Amino acid sequence: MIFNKALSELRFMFELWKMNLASALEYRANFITQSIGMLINDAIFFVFWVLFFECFKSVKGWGLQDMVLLFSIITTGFGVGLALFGNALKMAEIIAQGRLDYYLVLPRNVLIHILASRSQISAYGDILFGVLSFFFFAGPVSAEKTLLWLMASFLSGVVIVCSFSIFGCLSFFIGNATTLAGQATNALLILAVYPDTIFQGGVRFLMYTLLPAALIGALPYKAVQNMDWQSLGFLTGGALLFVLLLVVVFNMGLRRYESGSALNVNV
Amino acid sequence: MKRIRTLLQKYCAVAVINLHSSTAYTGEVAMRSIMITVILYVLVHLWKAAYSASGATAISGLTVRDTLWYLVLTETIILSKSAFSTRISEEVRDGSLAYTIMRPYNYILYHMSYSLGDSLVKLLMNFAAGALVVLLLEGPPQHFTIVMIPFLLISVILALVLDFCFEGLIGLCAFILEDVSSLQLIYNKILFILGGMLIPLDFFPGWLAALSKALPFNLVLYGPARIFVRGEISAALTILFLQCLWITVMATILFLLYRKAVKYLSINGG
Repeated sequence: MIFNKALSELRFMFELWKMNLASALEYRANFITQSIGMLINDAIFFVFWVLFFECFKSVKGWGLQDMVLLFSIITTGFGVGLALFGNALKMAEIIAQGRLDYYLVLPRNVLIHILASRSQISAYGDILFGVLSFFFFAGPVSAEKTLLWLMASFLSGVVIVCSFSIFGCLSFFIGNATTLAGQATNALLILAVYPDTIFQGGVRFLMYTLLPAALIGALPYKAVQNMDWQSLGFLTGGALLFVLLLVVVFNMGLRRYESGSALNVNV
Repeated sequence: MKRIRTLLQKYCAVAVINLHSSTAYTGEVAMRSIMITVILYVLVHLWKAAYSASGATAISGLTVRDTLWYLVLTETIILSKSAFSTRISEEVRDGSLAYTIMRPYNYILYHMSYSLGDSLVKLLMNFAAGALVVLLLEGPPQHFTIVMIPFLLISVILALVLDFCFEGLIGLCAFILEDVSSLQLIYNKILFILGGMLIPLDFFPGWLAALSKALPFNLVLYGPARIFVRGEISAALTILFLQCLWITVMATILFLLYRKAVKYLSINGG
């Protein structure tokens, strides 16, 4: 019974993804422009690190190739996560504007339906950048390293989607949390895209807990760079914990949800 | 003369109204300043680690403290500047441009005053938040003196005006393309590198530093930040002169293109 239900939700999710992709490809010029725009955006940070390491060679054990590998994992994870669950970034807004009503009346899992209903088109540019940078600029590539990179990027994406959604769920508890969720999202990404060894003490603790930047960047990087399956195991545990946390927080919040009289039409 | 005074009063009033409107939401602005504190916290640790690893006390004449105060100013400007091109693009798409260009003001000057009013509160809040982080973690700026304050203030205002001209040129493309978000993204990324937002131009290899300094983008971020950390009056005067020169060039192009772009305008909705 539970298995059948899960299978049915998975099928539904696949249908939503197919529809999102078809809809994105319908406006092909926009799709290409946004993807290339994001590719350029990511490449600029690559240029920054090239210039930075021209000056400094290495920082606390991190060199250019390490930064490229870290960036390739985060951009691929971010890209896959938001291409499939694009509404993770809009969760706070959807709740605050009372737009959950549309999802609540349909006989589907509300959380999955909300998250998978939208695809962030520019995320395809992130995926492209991540793949290109891993295969061409992040050092020697082997079959095992590629497998680890794929799994680490996927798990990083899971943590990204869950964290963004949890920040968004704050709207259930404190009213309109759009700005706060946006700030938390940006803070998380900023902490993730720099070498974790430059931080110490409380900030490092924060990076493994409230703002799980280390689970998005440093830990997946460690797993791939050192071919360390144990780190990947810890990352898997962390990602599952965040999935569980999201489900709990979302369901707790849903009990408090009240919509206004705003009329919304979802097309 | 009287007409110029009336015009100045009109556009100053627009800036002041928007300034008041921004101060009405100081809580919101303050929350947005969290961003600059996180960015600078990370940058303080990154640059301190980098300088410590290299063993150098100064690179291209900049100490780690100079570099961090440089970044306070570049981050403040980038996070406070107004996205004029996005507003034009939105007005073209929702059709409201049909009303705004008919009103008894110059469309470009109105938006410039509006943008400056919008940016001033953000500038103050972001600078206060960023400066506090660097002050606590690294210490006060080394070469900045009270004498330099007028130069710095004028340079920051001119930087915002120059940025407005670039944003305006991008925004005018919306009259033809409707959506200019990708062009704006590319402009912002140019500012990140060639403007010197992420790293001072002094750290670039020779050819790239020369190229960046020859282009006007450095006058939006690097110019004011350099005045702030170097504290040299002669260099400040050169930067102010170059800013005025490029504003004259870009504003002339902007006004000429605006006249042409209005002819291409097609308005949807309303």
